[in-house]
Amino acid sequence: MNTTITIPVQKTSETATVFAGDYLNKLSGETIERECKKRLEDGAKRLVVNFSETEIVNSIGVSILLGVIDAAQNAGAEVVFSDVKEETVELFEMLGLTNHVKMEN
Amino acid sequence: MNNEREKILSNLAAEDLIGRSLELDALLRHARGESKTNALLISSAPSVGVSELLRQTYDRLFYEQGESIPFYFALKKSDRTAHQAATRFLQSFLQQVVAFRRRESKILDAACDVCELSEIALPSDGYWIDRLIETCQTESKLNNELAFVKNCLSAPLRALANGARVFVMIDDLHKAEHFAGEIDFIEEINEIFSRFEMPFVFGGRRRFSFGASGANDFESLDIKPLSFVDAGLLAENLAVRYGVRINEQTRDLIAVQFDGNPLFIKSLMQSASEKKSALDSFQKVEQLYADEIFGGKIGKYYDAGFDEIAPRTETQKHLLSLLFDDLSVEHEKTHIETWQSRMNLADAEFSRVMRLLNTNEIVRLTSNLVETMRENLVLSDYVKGRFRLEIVLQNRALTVGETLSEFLKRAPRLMADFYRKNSAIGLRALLGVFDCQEIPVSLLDYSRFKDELKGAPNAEILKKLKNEPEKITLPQIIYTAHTVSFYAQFAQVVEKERSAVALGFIKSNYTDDDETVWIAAEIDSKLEAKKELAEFWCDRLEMVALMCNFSNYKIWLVAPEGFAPDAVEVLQSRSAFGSSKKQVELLVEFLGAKDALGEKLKANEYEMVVPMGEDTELIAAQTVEEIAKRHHFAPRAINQIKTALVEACINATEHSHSPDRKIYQKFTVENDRIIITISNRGLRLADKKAQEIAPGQDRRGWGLKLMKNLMDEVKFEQTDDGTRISMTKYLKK
Repeated sequence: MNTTITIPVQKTSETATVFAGDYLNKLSGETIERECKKRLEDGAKRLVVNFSETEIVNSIGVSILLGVIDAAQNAGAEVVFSDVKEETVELFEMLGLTNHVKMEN
Repeated sequence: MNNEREKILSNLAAEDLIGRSLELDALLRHARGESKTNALLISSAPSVGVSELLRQTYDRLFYEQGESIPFYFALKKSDRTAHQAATRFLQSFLQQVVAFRRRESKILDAACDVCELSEIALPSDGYWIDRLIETCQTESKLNNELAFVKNCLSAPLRALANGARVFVMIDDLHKAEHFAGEIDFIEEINEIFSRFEMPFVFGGRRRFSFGASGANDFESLDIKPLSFVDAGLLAENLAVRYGVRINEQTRDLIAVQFDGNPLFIKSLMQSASEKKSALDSFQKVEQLYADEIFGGKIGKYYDAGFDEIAPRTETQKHLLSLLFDDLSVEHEKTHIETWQSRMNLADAEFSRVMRLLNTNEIVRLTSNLVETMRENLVLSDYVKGRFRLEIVLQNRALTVGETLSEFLKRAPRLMADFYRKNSAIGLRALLGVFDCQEIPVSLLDYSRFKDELKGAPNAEILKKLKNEPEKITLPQIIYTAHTVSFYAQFAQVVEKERSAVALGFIKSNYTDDDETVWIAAEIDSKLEAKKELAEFWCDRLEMVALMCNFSNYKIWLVAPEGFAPDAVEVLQSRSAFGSSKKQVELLVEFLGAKDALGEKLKANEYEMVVPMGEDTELIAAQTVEEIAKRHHFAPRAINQIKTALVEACINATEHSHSPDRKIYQKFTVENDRIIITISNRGLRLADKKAQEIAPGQDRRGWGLKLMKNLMDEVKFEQTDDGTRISMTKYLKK
């Protein structure tokens, strides 16, 4: 198994979109975190994490996402979770993530 | 029930009572007055566990401290007369009433006489207790034995008259058989309790006559030996309790060999523990079993029984010879006159011995015919062993050695028979539920089924079957037995469980013309059965009909994959039915006969071991997804199960410091649920500091919360070396 993964990123003006993979765990979470922080440093004001491919999420991945949200808030940027599957939304709600981000389809 | 409650009368902790929850519930319902009649008769074969069940009922009722005072009394071998039993009855009764009222179970351990009990009774009970004791003492002084016995046994009635409601359980009533004297204890107790206006229970051996006078209108509760699964569970629990190493193979052998008898299973485990012997191979199990038969706990159990039935050595020798002869020859029944002449006993003593042999299920006594209980393997082994040692006077070492060798050769055969029996479709039980029901022809006629229904989904098949215009009315079956019971030679061609004969009537008119017999057999064929095979089986079953003088009969063959066209022609020419296994499964469903056939053992467990790390939890999650899909869990539930499983794996990986770095996973599917068990070696959850597992500032430690929220039940168990998490998700339709 690879120990590093590549996260696809799209950037348009002040919005950066980061695509989460099929399994949001520690490794993929940290990669997302790194990409997001880089975009924030580049001046992005809107971070979109796209979960269209995400089948399963674990609690470590979620805890890292909370770090991303904190970093964005500190940089005055907005975090949006898009294309999140119903089951994953349920999980995010359970852990209180949905209070801090905007959900979009 | 609180598991930490101390045992009062019971021998087992409440959680260790296995396979008896339905029976315990029935007894508790009866105690609450929810039965149709006040009198409940609970009976079983010897050593199946009626007494423990009643004692557990006592403990439950004692701790519940409800309206009724539980009272348990068992006759003892030491009660030689009705007078002695009645005296003990009164003393036990008062002791238990006082202990319950004072909520002090320790009073039951004290050796109090009735006068002392009267002194420590609550004031509200003092008056009637004093009067009761006074009356009994007066009768005793007057030497009026019958009046004394009646007074003692009427104690619960007197208590009730004074507002004390008592739930009476009188156990081991068959021991009244040994009482000397003029008083018929059973008759007296029946007469007294026919006037008792509270629920009560009489218990004892199932073949004992609890009173033919019909004074009481009894409801019956027949306690069966433990099922194979429960017997295995008991063996596992006892192995843990006594520190005996077993494995799945030996657990199953023990369950089968002892036929679900809890006493024998316990005896074996206790002996293994005392001898520090593991039971992890057939050889070790049989070695210890041989020791048990030749002088161990099981041998002593039967020794005591034989000594009681036939105290004289000569009589016992005759008895052993008779039993051995009966076990050694093919014919199963002997005339009772043969037994009397060989035992050389006077009529009264012979009658007593035979009655006890029957009650203790050493022989079956029907219509003046005697049949040794050859299906009781342990009894047969005991009889054969003693016969060789004591009658043939064979060298002990040789006897034990040869017997052990026989046991070892027999063990795999026993299991093979069990596997065959378990895989049989249960024709006998199925025939028994025919009951004049009308069914579509396609359920019995294979060619029709093949043409119109084979291969279609179950729901579609059932729909079409319901709309099928052509019907067959099944006969009213009044008696069924395995074919070998009618015609012993048939055992040479088929295993007992795979063929049955059913006697009945075409309609429920009960006339000679309506009499019919169905002779059915389950046959083997990997493909559709060929003509030759159909002919062979029709010939054999017709032979049974001929030998048994059945004139109006119907043959029914069941082949796994049905019958080839030329075989169907053979069946039609013989007016026989031929069905596939699929048709039989549908027939069972159609007749609602699943309960009658009993639950088959299902391969419903999946096990896997994954290494920790490297996202291996995803492999487990994908596996459980596949399993849950097969069992029709909804996508949302599947995702929840997968997420909970992933969290359990992460938990094991992060917290355990596991020495083998492995996660052991078991997925068990039952009718309405999936149970996921995740185990690991290493640090136990209990050994972790709270902040290591609870959610904290660092946003970690959400695993337990997620598991609990996503699953319906989550249990954490500490093992000796590691942690086991068991999570259940129910199938919601």
